[in-house]
Amino acid sequence: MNVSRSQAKPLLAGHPITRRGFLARSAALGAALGAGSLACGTGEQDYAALLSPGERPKQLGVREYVVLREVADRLVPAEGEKPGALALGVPARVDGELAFHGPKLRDDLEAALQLVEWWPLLSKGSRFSRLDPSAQDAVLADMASSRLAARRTAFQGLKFVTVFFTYTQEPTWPAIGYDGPWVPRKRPAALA
Amino acid sequence: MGVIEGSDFSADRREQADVLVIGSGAGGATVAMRMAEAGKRVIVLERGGYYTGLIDPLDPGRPGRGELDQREDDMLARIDGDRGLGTTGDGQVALTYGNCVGGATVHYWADSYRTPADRLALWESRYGVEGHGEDELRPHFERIEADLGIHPAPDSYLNGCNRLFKRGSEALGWLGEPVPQARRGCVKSGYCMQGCSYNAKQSMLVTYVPRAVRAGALVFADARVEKILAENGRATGAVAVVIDRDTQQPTSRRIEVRAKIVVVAAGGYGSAPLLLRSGLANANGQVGKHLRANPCSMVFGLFDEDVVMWRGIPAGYGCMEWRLARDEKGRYREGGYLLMPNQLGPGALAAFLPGFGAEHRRLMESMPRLASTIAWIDDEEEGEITLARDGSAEYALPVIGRNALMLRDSIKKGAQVLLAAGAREVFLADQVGTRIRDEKDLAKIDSVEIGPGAMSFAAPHPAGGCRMGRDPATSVVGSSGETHEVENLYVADPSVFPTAVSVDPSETILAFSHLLSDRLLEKGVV
Repeated sequence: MNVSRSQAKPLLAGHPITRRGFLARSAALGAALGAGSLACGTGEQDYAALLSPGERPKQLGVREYVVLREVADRLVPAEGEKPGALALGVPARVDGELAFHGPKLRDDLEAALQLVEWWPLLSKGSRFSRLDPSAQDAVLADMASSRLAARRTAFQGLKFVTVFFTYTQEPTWPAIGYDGPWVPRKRPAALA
Repeated sequence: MGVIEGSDFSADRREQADVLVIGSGAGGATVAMRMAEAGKRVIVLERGGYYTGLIDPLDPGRPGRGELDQREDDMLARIDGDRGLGTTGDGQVALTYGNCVGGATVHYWADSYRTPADRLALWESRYGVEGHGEDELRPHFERIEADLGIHPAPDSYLNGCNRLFKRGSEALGWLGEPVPQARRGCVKSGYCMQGCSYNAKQSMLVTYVPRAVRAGALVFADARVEKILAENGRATGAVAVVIDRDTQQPTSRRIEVRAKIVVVAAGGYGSAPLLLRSGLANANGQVGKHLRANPCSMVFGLFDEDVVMWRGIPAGYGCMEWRLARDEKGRYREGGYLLMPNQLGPGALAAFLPGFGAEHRRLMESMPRLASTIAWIDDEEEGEITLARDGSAEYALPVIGRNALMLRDSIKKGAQVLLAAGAREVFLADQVGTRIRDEKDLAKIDSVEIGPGAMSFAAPHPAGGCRMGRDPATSVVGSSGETHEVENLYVADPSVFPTAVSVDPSETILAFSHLLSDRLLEKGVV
């Protein structure tokens, strides 16, 4: 067994990434890739138009929130009668969760979402939120197995919050055979 | 007086005490109870909230408030630090710790081991920890085991996952044994990690905290200590801000406590940041150094029959074969972890299972037939706790060197157990979804990517950060538990351990705090 194989493969070889480092590099990547956003006509109003009437994030920016919706819909898509992350309100739950945390988590999440949104400009010539579902799946699969730790970490973080806040919801339990708690629910801790 | 919650008062408070204890987990609750029962005026400041299940911990004849409601989402938010979303800086290791009255014991699995003799000997010989040998600790272990009803898990505790794990481990000829459990009247609901609704798990919430309160200790919940106060090289108290439970935001209310001694017991992830923020006991730059945390790997096995790993107790049978790392010709060969059955609810399971979309859904739909192993590695490569510019704590636990080797080996051994138990297929917790179908496939594990973002680990057992030792240049506290630099300032939690314990640390934390309490009382410090 070779130690070097076991070590992290950071974005910059030889310098293990820290949260700050991850953020800085992700943000730089996002900014560089997103420089084409103006040319693509991607102002905030374009993103806002994709939201339901009255649907607005409380913590994330509108662009990031729209990307989160797109990502959540691919990570846990609806399947027949089985609800997906969107129907379960997971993007709003994740957005609301940020109110309980310091700015670091929001910054990390936003950086991850920017990376998801703009990276496909390189490989597919389009931002993530404009890709069709199968192309979005391909982008996410590529992130999960990327050689770049920042891309993998972005995927991992987004997957964690999406699937956790999906499968902790009762409507998902019958399909997975989970028979649920034995005591009544107290006031949901998600409510500030 | 009982437990005073943030919503119980509206003005600033000023208090006087003999002993101020910061934190109410295994370390702090023990000192608080012992000091209060010795007649000392004790005040406890606990950052997290006070949550109860079906029974009032302070008055078992009355119903509780039902806040320990068994929902992963709700309970991570209530009882876990960072509402369960804290990670190391690279996002790879989830930091699992308590943030409530009772601390991490509210979510622990109740596994209760005496400190292995080889670990105590190591701490003495290499780090100069004195007076904490087997002989000194034995009476405290005996007392703790009586207090918490600790007993080896009988076969009736073993759920489907445990039985499969035992079968696999025995088939491989690995050393295993019942895991000692701190439980009374367990109903085997499977919600230990969410905080026992039935007061059966003998956490500090239902044992030492109520005893401390009955003896007169005042416990403030929702009280986040901002700074430890010191004058002329002596600790004199602390100032806390009251946290609004519903929003988790600080209020304008303060609690200032003046005390003869201050005992920091904010936990392995909390005490070092508090000392750093207070600018105390760190002239040698050792606070926050030497962090270890038992990062753990998970492996999943799909069986033909129902397993239902979410019911019953988490780990009733453990594999001790690999507790200590084995080297060969000066190089790591194998071992260095406790290998155990795992228990996860659907939310956590979803986070650790590989893939996404339809593939991930199929795995989730096989949840009743999934078993899992978990391995707490006895990490040797040290991490560090530092402060960001805004004063928040940052944690580094890089998965490198021998830690990475141990994690990789633990994944392989977990897969072996599951295969030996009859798993049809084994899944690793990596994002690409590596699958193992037979012994030949085990070689895949040698090259699986385990770096940041590729595989997640959880780290529930922090140690170090305020290391105990003889040498003031390389440690933060002496063997008395008092900091080398600041008089009357003590640390009583796992951050004093020079290394990880190599078994679940709860009984070691309790024993160290009992010992500290004895010595404080014997010396008449207060």
